[in-house]
Amino acid sequence: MTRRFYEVNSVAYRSKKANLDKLPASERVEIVFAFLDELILALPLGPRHRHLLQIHLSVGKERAVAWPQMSSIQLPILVHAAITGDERPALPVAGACTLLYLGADLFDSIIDDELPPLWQARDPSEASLAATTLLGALPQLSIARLQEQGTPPERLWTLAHLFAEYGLTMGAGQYEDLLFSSLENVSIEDSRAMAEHKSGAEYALFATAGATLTTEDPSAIEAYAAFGSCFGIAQQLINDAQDIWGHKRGQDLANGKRTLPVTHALCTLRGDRRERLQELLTSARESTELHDGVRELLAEAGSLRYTALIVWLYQQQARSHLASASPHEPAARELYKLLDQASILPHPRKAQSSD
Amino acid sequence: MEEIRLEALRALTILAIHDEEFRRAMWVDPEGTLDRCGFALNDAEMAQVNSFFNAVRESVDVDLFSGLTEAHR
Repeated sequence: MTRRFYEVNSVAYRSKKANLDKLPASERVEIVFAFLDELILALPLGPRHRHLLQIHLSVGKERAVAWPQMSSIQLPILVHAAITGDERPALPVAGACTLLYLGADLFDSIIDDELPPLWQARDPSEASLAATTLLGALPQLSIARLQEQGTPPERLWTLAHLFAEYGLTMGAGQYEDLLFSSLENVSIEDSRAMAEHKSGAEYALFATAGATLTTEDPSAIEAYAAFGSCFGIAQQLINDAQDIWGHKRGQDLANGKRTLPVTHALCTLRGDRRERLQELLTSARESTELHDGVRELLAEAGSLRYTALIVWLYQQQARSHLASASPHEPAARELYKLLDQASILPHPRKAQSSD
Repeated sequence: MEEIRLEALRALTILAIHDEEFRRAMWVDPEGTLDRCGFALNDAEMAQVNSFFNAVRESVDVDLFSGLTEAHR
């Protein structure tokens, strides 16, 4: 038990007069990022190298403050609390999950040519170096902090192995994402499996890491892993739809990505309409002006509604797996609430005023 | 709210991914399609399925976009 860990851990927690075991999502964000700030400050690195890591930590924190539901923070902590009633011991695990998420996110941004503004003045090789460090070294160092709270070595090893196994699956999903852009016939199942490998594995890790810290019961660990996997698939498909139709559209069409809405449209349209979509998808890599044409054909195929259906089916599966784990309150309520947000459903239209 | 049984959800997902005819028919007649495919959902489960399809089937994409934006944040 070193002073460093408890400086971060206790100052934030002791400042709460309320129940220490149940914090709002936004306060978990503050505590996890305070922990990571301190972890990175303690690394034996030169100031410029350290600064690269701090850049992406800032990106991540800004995002988490705007969206406190960030799964790498909430899932490990809430799953741990759903088993034990205590959030606090899961802090280093949430730190490790968040570092892995940030590293994977940064690599994804480099590949998709979507680097956040803080990185745009920098050489991409610096971003690659930061991503490698965030993914490869820091999660292990965050897990090592568990020694300070007396976690036995065999459990540390189990956690380290989990990160390696799920990280491998995530890498396979990322590879499929790259590969499918150059293939002619990608099926709906291929796109689904890619979402499972990329984000299903990531969320499964977040949930399983929280569970593994506190239990060896295989049925509980499997239930949380399945919950995380289904939740992650649903969230990935939402992100894929958001990239095409959302207010802040991404680069998937420009990068030729074969996400589920696109493969659904290619499998649904026939004859000239399919050929037209194929042509537009090819040309859309060169010209964003053609993206509206792609969206029109996806609408014609009902691809957004279909994506909403698959998201709903995975959301319901995640609910079922979570129920089977019998999570304790109040963490259970928060886990269900997080899951409820993973859906694509229309907002009720406002009633027209009669006056 | 009663959960839909996991086996049913898994089977529905497999059909929705792999069976083109199922994908088309579900939007037209969810209950009849499930019946023809051998699903025996109880009333509470069927109500959940109908609730989803009723919400999405008649909507236009612009309504779904609003839900999508909120979901993603």
